[in-house]
Amino acid sequence: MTDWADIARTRQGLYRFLGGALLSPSAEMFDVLAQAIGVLEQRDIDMFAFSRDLRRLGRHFPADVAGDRLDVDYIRLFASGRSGALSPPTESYYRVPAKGGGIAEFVAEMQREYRSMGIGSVGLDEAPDHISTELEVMAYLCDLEAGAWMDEQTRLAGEVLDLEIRFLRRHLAGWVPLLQERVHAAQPTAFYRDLVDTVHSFVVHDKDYVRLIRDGIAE
Amino acid sequence: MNVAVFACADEPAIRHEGDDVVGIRGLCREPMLLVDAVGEATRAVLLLHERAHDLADVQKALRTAELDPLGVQILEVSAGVDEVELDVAVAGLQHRAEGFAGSRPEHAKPVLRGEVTRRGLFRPPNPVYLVAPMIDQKACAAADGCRACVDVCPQDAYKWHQGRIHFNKDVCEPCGRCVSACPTEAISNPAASPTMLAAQIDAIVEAGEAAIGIRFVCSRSTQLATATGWFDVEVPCTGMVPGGWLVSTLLIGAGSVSVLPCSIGGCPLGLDQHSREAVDFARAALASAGLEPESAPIDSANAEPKEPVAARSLQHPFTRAGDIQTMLALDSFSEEAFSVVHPGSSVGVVTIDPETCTLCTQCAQTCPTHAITAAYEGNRVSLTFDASSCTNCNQCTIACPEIRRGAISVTGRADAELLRSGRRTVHEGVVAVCEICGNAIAPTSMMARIGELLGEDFDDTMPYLSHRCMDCRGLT
Repeated sequence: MTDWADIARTRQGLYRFLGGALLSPSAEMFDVLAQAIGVLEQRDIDMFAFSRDLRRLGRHFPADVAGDRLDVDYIRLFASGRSGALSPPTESYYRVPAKGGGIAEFVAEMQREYRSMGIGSVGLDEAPDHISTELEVMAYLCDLEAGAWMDEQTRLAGEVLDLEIRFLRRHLAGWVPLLQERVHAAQPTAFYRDLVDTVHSFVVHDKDYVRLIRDGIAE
Repeated sequence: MNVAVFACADEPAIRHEGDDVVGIRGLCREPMLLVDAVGEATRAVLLLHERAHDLADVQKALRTAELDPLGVQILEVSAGVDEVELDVAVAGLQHRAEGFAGSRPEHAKPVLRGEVTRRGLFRPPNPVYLVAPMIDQKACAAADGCRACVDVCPQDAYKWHQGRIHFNKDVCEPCGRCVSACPTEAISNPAASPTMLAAQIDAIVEAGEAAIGIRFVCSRSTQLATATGWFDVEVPCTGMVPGGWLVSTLLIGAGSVSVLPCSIGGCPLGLDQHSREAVDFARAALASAGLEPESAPIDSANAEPKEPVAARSLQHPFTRAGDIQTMLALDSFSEEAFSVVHPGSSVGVVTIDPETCTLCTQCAQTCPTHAITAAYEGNRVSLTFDASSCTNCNQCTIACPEIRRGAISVTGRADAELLRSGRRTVHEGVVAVCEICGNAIAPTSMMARIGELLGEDFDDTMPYLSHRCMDCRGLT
């Protein structure tokens, strides 16, 4: 990687890839994902601690959605309704019991948060607190950050990094470990086990790494 | 477990090829050369030239080679090192690497060396990863009120909030104090686990032909030379090493043991005092066992190591169970029952003052290792104590509402007799019983103390409160 914009673009690609992999699987989408991970693996990802998880995940591609019963496992793990899925992929499932209040309030608050960041929609049909939506929001922020670096707008890059830090801390870094634990407990296929491990590893890393970049920007 | 050893084959040569070490020319400058060499190995030891490599590049190459960098042992070798001693050190590191049980993403703490440039015109620095501690929330006793990690952390990286410990990795400068101080062993550092340390020391002792000295060194230290026969065991910071570990090291078979802090100017984390206390405790413990410190020197890596005192089999050194085993092993050297009183002891003894203790049982509820327990039987309540479970963490004294009156105290004391005596009752009293339903209300000593605090104005109310439980108050 040559510069910070490049790193932001790689992170954007990773968020988008992982968000896509956590949507309902289809043969067409997995073809796209196979190409995407091929591109990502060509980047200089071994400089990051999460690369071993990503490479392990990469070995599942090209994947046979029907043959490997990924569609069945997806429904079992994530898509049998809030009460039926073994490991619901929505933040409210993990956070509302602890924080109190209702799911509707929680999700509405997330929508307000997205609007405050200038995000009306991320183009997904999933709920605002769905894992794929949240990963896509981070992809969007990384895109903004990369643009700021490209335009040599360090101050703007710093402001976007602040948004990334806040979003990661308030949301993904808080509940992805809980999701990972639930998925593991549900004895998933190797693909979904490695997928949630990679999401967990990447999010935990990004929370620390983004903070480092922010702290390092010269005033 | 397949542990491979790779050495940089550049001049000056670190090792001769032909033994179990794979020499790679240019390894320090080009760590990616490892990738093709690793083969089936799942763990590795790297012998590199002093200050000739970039750690970020080495870690990156290890990831490409599908090895976990946090478990790979790197030994910086200076020119002219004694080959026999190097063999022993490598044997130790091989066993240490073998004991690595893997790391979690949370353990990796990235650090950027260099500034993030405004224009980003040149290559951003690769992150270097340090090993941060991680809490196993299931084993953590914070819900009971334990906050031992909060008390010992020199950076205030831990906060206790609503029965849960919150860890701030950003401010943590990994020193390992929390790891060795956690009473329930809920905090881990996978790069310096008890298993790895024990395996390394054990292997060094086994491989060494003469008397062996073990020197615990801080990972930040510039490692000073020692006399012949001394071997370094790296820990995140020597401030994490309790005195019991020093004694355990001698019992594993080392003849001498020493501690090397990170710099002569003092530990930047301010943990020098803990190292001194550990050494002082170890000396006191040896003296109490009738072993003169001269025969098993501590903190003197300039002299030749002594012959081992006498090796004892320790099942799990550097753990809670190992600490107890070590103290009991010392008893076997002692003509009288072994006992040492010292603030640096990782074994404690709780004393309850029956005059001021109200039997509220807060101490038992907070005690993270259940060394103190409370038991209700009929109309009696008792506090029991088992010295072999006490870690001298003092969480009970922090929880005690009557601490100002001296209701409870903890003494750092390892006493073989107490350790063997098991659980014993340390205080008991009568529980007031509801005159209506017969359920327990509270210990009478506690009710008396409440009455004392409320004063004369409540003289009429107290008898009522003492005779009716919460459910039956208000009933006629």
